[in-house]
Amino acid sequence: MASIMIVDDSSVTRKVIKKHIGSGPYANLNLIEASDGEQALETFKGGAQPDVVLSDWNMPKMNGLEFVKKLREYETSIGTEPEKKVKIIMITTEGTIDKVTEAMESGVNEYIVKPFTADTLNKTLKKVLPLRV
Amino acid sequence: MSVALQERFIQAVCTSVSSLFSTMVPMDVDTSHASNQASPSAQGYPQDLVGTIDIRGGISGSISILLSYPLAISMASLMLEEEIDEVNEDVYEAVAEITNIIAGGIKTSLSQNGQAFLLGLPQVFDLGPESNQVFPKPSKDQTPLSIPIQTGQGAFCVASLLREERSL
Repeated sequence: MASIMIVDDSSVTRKVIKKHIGSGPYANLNLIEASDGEQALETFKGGAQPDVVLSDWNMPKMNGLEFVKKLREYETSIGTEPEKKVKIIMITTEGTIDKVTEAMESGVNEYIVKPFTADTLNKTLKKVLPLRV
Repeated sequence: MSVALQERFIQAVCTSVSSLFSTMVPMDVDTSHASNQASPSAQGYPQDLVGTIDIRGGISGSISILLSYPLAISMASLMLEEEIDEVNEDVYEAVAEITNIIAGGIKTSLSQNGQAFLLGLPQVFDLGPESNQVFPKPSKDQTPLSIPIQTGQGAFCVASLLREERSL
């Protein structure tokens, strides 16, 4: 079964994201949580293989951008084929074009600016994780 | 801090607040009369809970959200779509995230003039209803801006202490 990793230092935001996913077409997916980039990266190195990562940007210990860069480096180091690399959606208050560009150039696939709705989240998920009929 | 920048800041607050309360915290808010007022404690706005975040860049200082326990509980309940009847960890976390999102929206609006800003991580202080503490406390080179926002369930205040930095 496909799975989604939620990386955010705010437990409330993780809960909101879980509720939004739970109310939409991806309700039956497994959800994995991490409270910062460091914990998320360790989870990957421990063998987790989520299909999609939803990551905040501003977090303690390791921020979302560092996490994305290190995750992409890790995938390259273990020989992950390009089409099998995890899809990353950044969900952040960083809303300027410069920040969006920086994130995309670092390996982010899609970008959501907070505040967001369930509809926005589920539509963006659909772009990177097509629904199987 | 120039009057023009103060006006831009107040407009940025209104835009950010309206965006948040039409999406993640579905609550009626009225920003049409938003303007800089006297300090929130002098005006009697509740500051039971205070969410605050540092900002650095073209302006530096802090952006804070001051609100009552009941309003904080209502906002957390709406955000999480569940009934909350007391101030608990979810309420603190919700106030932190509301502070983060409002400050992020302000930052994005102000950045449209080409200036870069950095935000810190939000912190929440539980001052309680009996507190007469003046929060935030300004230093002499900072401009205090207190912008009350009306909601259907009482008012809260976006209070900032800011200094305009000179361009290098």
